[in-house]
Amino acid sequence: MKTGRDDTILEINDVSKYYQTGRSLFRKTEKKMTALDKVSLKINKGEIFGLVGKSGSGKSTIGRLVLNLEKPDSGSIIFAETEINSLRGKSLKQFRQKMQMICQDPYQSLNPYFSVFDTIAEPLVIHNIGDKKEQLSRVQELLEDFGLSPATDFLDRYPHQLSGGQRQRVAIARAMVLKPEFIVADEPTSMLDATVSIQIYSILAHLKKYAGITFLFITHNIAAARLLCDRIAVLNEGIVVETGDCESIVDNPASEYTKALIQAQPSFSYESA
Amino acid sequence: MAPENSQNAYQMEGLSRNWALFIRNPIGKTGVILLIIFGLMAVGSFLPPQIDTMYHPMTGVDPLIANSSPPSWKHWLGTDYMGRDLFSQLLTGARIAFIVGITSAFISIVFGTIIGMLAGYGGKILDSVLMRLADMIMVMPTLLVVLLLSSLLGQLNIWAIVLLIALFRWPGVARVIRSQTLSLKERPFIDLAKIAGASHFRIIFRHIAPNVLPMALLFMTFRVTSAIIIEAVLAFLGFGDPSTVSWGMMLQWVWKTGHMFQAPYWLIPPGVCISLITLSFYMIGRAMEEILDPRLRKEGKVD
Ligand SMILES: Nc1ncnc2c1ncn2[C@@H]1O[C@H](COP(=O)(O)OP(=O)(O)OP(=O)(O)O)[C@@H](O)[C@H]1O
Ligand SMILES: [Mg+2]
Repeated sequence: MKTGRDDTILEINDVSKYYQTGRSLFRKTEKKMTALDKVSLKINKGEIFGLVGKSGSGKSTIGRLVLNLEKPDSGSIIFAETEINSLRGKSLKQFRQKMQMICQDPYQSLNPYFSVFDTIAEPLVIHNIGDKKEQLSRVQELLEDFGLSPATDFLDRYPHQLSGGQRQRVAIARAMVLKPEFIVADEPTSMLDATVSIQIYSILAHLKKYAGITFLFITHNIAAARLLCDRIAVLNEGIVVETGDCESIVDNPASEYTKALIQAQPSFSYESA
Repeated sequence: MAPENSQNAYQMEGLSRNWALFIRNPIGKTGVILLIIFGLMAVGSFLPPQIDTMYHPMTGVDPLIANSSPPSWKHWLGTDYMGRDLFSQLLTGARIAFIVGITSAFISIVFGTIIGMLAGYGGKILDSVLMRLADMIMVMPTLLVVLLLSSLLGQLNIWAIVLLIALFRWPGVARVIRSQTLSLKERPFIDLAKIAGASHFRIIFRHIAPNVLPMALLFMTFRVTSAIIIEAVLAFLGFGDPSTVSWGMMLQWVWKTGHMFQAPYWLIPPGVCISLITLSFYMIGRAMEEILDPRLRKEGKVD
């Protein structure tokens, strides 16, 4: 179910990833487990692409490969027309400016020894963008944008002085500071309560609409995917079961696995109504 | 708006909270009081030679005394076999103990922390090489090797002794810092730093280092203890720095001049000082450990 438009920003071609497990002194043979098996996906510019599947199905692994934190064992990943695994030095640094991440646990995603200012400004410092004053005003602007105002109240705080929702907003502000083109959001709300989750979803939807950011949105919450995503892929044990338009898959699942996923979602019928 | 100041403010806040916990602990309190006393002794060691040159710990000799003499008004702890003032020597010994203990502990902590972070973060070959090296040094009996080296190299000055001790004491620190680094490395904020484009150097020194620093400081107190003991033993066995006096050396002189059983006023003070100063650093370390214990630290974090 490919869209006719030819504005693909990310292309995953036949990507496989194996992890070694159970290696020990006494067993010579290494056991390989297949985390991803020939996964192919295309993500279009400006969409929110959902990745759903049960725990251990390989969703986060796809995210880590796309972010170039790990290398695939075979296959290729093409972002903005360049193969990302061969990036080195300067070109890798350029790639790092374009893709950011928001992760699951806002308690673990912030360095406890970094203030809010340090956290959000770090990407600017790394890429040598602006002087101190410009960095400060950019950080303040972002804090206000994401509902942490007055910004001056938050600049000097440390993670332990923030609530979970506030931390996640700081994490989003940091992800946005370089004005990236693409954001991987790996279950960004699974540690937050429902009302805060809704707020975070609306921030993401807003960023898609007004900043033109493309999202890879990883979740096991089908209701959230349906709310937010344009297209989704369903993943089971490292294999893409089905992919396509979000509404049609959720309302008309083709595979038994997807049906089971939807049925396992207790709040689904309520939230989609 | 100065973010550096706020970083300091945060650390100060954490410090003062931990200090409150620390000083409430009787072990920590005793350790600190003892340490203050030794600190005053070390600072005071500059005074006696100012009052009269005969109070110089090495070169000052009371012209009226040719033998070891018991405590008197003129010499509060008595004199050694040449008529040098023992109290003055004891004060200087405190200074030497601080120099040896703190600098060699500091050097070994800096080595150990950097090597531990490199091994833990670098992984693979770097990790194996550094940790095998650490193992090799760790299984060597420090005292014996340092003794051998100093007898081979002849009389060493105090800084050479400090460096020698430090070179043999980093592996323990490196091991602990490495394992801390291994678990820190898995924390998402490290991945996020990579994603932001941070260099390995930045990740190690800006992200990991502050997180392992409390553990490194804890180790420092234990390293001070062992460095002081090693120096004392070296000096007692006659391998100390001949240009200065340390407690170990005072004990050596008692022994060598055959005053072991005749001059308790000479034997006991340096012995007691060595025991108490190592005890005080040990107690401070223990008290710090209780604060660093994650369970206790959580209680402390409620603010
Ligand atoms: N570093 C690793 N070493 C070994 N196995 C790994 C590693 N990372 C992931 N795996 C394995 O790969 C599989 C896929 O993991 P992944 O984290 O991608 O799952 P997930 O779909 O994100 O699950 P969840 O919803 O629980 O986050 C799992 O079976 C996991 O155990
Ligand atoms: Mg996951």
